Amino acid sequence: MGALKEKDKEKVANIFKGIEKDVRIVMFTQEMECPHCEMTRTILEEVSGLSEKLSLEVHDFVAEADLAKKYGVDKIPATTLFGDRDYGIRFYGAPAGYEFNVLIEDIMDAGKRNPGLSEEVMTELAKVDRPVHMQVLISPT
Amino acid sequence: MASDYITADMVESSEFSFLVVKYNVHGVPHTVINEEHSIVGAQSEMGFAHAIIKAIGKK
Repeated sequence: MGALKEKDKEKVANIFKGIEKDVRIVMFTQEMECPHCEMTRTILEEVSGLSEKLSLEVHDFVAEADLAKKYGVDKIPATTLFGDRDYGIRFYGAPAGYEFNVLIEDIMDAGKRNPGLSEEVMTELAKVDRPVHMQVLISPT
Repeated sequence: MASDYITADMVESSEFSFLVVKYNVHGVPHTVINEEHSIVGAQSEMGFAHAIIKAIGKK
């Protein structure tokens, strides 16, 4: 059973025409998949199939624990995005509902290699000189 | 993406309710910076930037 409706796939495929550079979607799940893990993998398989510039890697959280640790992934399902580097973006949980839009926007930003923030905000963030870990708790809609 | 020091997690609260309890979350969106500083509700991009600077003890 597909995760995305045909018209949504068409809409997203169209949006993805604006992707300039390759984006790797890297996901962590586990062999005995939790229901949200399977849903996440299905969504990501469909999304990554909508552009040639997107690739998907699926890793096992348990079998590849060293890799999960390297990327600081401590929960599953986890989705990370890589452009020219690890951007430190982690989706924990299925990117469904409103979060799906956020995933698409983040893929676009990664594909442009540009977070699309104003110069003012970038200047403010340039003051950051130590690790900052943000966790945004959200609800499915 | 804007800074190599910053990592950002989007966490689906119904799948990870232990974090809802840990951070005493009553409404979403609820943002936690460095496991200590909480911001409730949506903020502008500059609002988040200021909150980050404040959280790391700078001005």
